[in-house]
Amino acid sequence: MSDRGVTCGFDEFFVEEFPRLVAMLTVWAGSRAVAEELAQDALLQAQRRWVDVASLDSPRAWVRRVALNRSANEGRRRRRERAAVRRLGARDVTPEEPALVDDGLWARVRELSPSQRDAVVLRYVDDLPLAEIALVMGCTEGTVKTHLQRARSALAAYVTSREGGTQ
Amino acid sequence: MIDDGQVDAYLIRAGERQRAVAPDAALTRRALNDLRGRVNATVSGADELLAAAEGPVEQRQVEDRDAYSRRWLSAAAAAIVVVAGIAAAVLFGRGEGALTTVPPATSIESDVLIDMPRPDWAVSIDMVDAQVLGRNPDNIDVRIEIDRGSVHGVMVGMPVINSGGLVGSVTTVHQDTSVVTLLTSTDLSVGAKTVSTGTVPEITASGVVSGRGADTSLRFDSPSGTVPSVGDALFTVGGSDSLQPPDIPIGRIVNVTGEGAADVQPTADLSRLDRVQVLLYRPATSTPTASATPTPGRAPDQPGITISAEQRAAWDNEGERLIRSKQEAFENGPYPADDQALGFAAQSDPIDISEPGQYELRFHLDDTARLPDGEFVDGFAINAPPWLSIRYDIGNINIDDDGTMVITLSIPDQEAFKPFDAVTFWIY
Repeated sequence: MSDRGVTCGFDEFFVEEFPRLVAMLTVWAGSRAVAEELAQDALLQAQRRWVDVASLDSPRAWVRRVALNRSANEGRRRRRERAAVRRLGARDVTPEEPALVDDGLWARVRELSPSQRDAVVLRYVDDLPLAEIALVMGCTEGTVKTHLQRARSALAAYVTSREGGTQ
Repeated sequence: MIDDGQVDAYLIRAGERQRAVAPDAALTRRALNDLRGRVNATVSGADELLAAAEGPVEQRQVEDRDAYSRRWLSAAAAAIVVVAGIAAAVLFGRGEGALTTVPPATSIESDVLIDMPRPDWAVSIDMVDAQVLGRNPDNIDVRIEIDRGSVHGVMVGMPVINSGGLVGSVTTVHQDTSVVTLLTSTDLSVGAKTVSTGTVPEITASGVVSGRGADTSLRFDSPSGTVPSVGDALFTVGGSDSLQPPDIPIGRIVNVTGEGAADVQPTADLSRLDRVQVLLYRPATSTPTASATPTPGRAPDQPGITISAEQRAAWDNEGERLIRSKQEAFENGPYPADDQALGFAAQSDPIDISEPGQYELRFHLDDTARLPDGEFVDGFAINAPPWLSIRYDIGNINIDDDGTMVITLSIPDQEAFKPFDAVTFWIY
């Protein structure tokens, strides 16, 4: 589906974007269940504003920005929720999440700085071109490249341990 | 150590494997149906609301069982209608001029049915959505913590509601969280009036509602000894000194225990609170405050900034993309996120960004700030209203001998540029 000048309806947009958003957000959030909720929320926002969103240069970038913003808020909310629960003296019963594919790698990706993490999931999981990543992140392509290069440097040690690489 | 190209290839393969376990077509279709269900519920609620607002008074029917909840659900449905963008100007009156299309004020004392959208007092009261962060069910003081605080305009004493009605009052305020004491707390009392829920509602008693601690019921006492009836609905009474505006549903009389005393079942389910709203309401006798809560599409006046009606209207129509990212940055404040590489936060001096151009942000780092050599500053939060849309590029980063970090920021001219002075930037 071409992104510019979108003429297809919202349903087609949903069918195309939902799986990709879930894949990306699963890595971002570390939980498939949370990813599906966040993807639904972002697409619900798109549906409510579809007349405007469909006329944007890149509805796909818009919905990803919304999804990542909501994800960031969700992450902070969960941290503060756990802190609030501890302060109020209740028991933290956060359930364990099932393992993801390549969970060790993605766990290290989640430990990167926010911009590096976003650039990695958009590039490698969502398979977006650099120009579109720049649109989602609100920066230049050069900045995206910098984030990716630094992220790869940070992940090199882990990848080396997995690949058994030599100097 | 493997090279960058090998890392890139590894990540590409990992990404492919992750995409391979993405939701299949059947699950995607189910998700789409779920979303349609959420949208249709909104639309049908709006249809009902529109019918109630537009139909002749004598044709509307009041169901005695749900009279007070329908009134409140009407107000909540009005909020949903706004989000759905259906007849928002008619029902919610956003922006100047739209208020004239709101249905005429109704009050519980009149013989107009109470099943009306948004009571008169609510038209001019802002509210802030909040998420309940935590609650200890063993807490006798029955308090909850919410994710909104002083930066959102929340103040001690403000009433907290949900779609069921009054939930409690804000009793402690921090920068971005607050503690709410629930109605069931023995520390809280609210002025209330009881209203019969027949075809023509009328006030049957006035008094005070108070909590009983961990017990979920409330107690109503009427100093005059006037006895309400079982089934009567309770609403806040309001008044110039009251911390609650009038006509917020509280509960229903379920048992009359003595002269002027009764048991009350709250309309809000206080045992299962997830999302609530804080009414940014101050009684008429309170000192007005210059601060206001920025909410998407609203532009409160700030010192040194004049905002015209045209600008407000233009900002109301701005796309959510950049606004939301800045809003969330603003709401969450300058704090070092615990999963970030840098792990420090600093605040720059306020700068004037009245025009596009290059600016130097100066951050005064103290001994607690850690800046590993060569690290890149990744995050910015901007102390500006959330509708402010700014694109920027980070340029050079240098640290002076006196420990001041100077970041060059380029702000290009942009279609929706809204100049603001005294903007403060945080890094984290």
